[in-house]
Amino acid sequence: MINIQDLNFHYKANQPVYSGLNLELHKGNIYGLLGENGVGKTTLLKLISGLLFPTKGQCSTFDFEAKKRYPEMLEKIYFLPETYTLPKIKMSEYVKLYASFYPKFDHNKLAEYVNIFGLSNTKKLSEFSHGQQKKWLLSFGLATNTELLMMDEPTNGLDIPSKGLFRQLLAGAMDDQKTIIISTHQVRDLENLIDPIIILEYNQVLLNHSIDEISQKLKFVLRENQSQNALYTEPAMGGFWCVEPNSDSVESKVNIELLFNAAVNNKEFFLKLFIQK
Amino acid sequence: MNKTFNIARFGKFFCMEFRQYKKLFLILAGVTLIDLVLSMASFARTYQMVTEVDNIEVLELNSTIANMVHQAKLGVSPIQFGGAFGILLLIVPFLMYNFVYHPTKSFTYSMLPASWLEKFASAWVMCVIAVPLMLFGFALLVAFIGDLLGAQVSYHTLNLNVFLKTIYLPTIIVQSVMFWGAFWFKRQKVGKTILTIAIVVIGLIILAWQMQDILRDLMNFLFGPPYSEAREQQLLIWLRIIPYALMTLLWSLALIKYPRTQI
Repeated sequence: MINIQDLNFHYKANQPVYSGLNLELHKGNIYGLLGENGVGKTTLLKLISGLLFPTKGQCSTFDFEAKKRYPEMLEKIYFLPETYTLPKIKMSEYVKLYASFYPKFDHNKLAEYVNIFGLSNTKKLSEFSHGQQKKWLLSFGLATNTELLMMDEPTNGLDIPSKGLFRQLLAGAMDDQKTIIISTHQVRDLENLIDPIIILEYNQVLLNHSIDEISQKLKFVLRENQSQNALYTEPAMGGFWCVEPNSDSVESKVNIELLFNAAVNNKEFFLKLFIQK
Repeated sequence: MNKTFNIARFGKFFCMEFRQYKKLFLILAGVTLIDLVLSMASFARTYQMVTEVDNIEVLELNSTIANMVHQAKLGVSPIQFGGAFGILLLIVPFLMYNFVYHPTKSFTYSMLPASWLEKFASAWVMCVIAVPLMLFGFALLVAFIGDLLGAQVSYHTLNLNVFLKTIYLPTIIVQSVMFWGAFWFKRQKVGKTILTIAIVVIGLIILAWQMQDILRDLMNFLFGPPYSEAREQQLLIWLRIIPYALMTLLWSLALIKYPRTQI
């Protein structure tokens, strides 16, 4: 569905964001896109949606060259950016203007989401708080029923109850034909929701695997003392959380935050374990 | 072609944009209305003065005042002194499409399912056709209301042809520079556009000054000897062609840049 081959991209000629990036994303998944600041998570989302153009290589979305931004491709994509400026209009007007461009737009669902998030049509969108604006865009995005939903830091600015509602709505809106890509630093907000996990590193992908595949290769255990063969340890109540190679096929629950820290501290190991075959 | 341009999708996009800018149109209408009413009022006053003191013979026939008096005798027309028309038409691209490359404002616009050509065509039709026609419509309306209220309205000058020749065409030629600026530059569009115009104009003046001998010879070669009728004719033709060519060039440059929009 999304196929990136040998992609190069830079904002400044001597500072490449990607050189030779390869990535394949399949439908029916909620991808969690993780990475340190500045590795190019937002850039990747923009490349997939055609808002940025590769300097070399291919980025195809739904078999369309993304940078051409063909309407047939765009009507299958909804992109919720991290920063946005909403127009000085009410929600109802926003729907009148834009909803008709999305063939599968579901007005009933939108009304349901708006109701769940407690948004009211009395104020203009520009007068909404940042959190309310995000709730509105999430509601609109989910109601578009697009096959690809991309979200850049969707839980930023949401209050605690809304984060729970967001998880529920997203899980409810998901089906086999859809793909959701969520770029986030707030992995705890989305734990139990995102699967597979993509970890980006400068110029490369450290990991693009499902939770099952990760738990087969790594184990996440709480030990009284730091273990010698741990890839990463973190102090916790009653001991240390350790990420270790799963040589004895122990079943453990993947902790995404620990996984991320383990990956960025053991890049070579992760590349060997997950990417290089 | 369906991927690049679909008339139904273009129509839908244009209607969406039209609805989106309806508040701006109301502001434009308001400014135009004030300007027109003031213009008509001043004309009406002149007309009144002329009818009261009929001393036109005192004035030189070709003087500006004589022309004004003559016009006033014909009646008032909202487009004769519609200065706001020109200014509004000129700044419309910046008012409407200043956000095209804006990192946070242009997200929705860029991701809406319409092709780059449909979006560009919509912007062009909006700036070059829809807004001027709308403003002309306002002028007609004001004239009609003025007529009902007993003003001496000159319908002779208030026709589309006069509007196109006297106000629309010169403005749209200059407006094409602004249109190009709005779709070409990423940031500081107004500043960069004005700076570019200034640099080009100064550059052309210096170039022409430096090459005046060569230019004179070239013109003699191309159009015949100075002060000849043939040369006057040729120059007139060129003076008509150049603005259209420049306009088309600027729109084309904007069009070429537009599909490469990255935000």
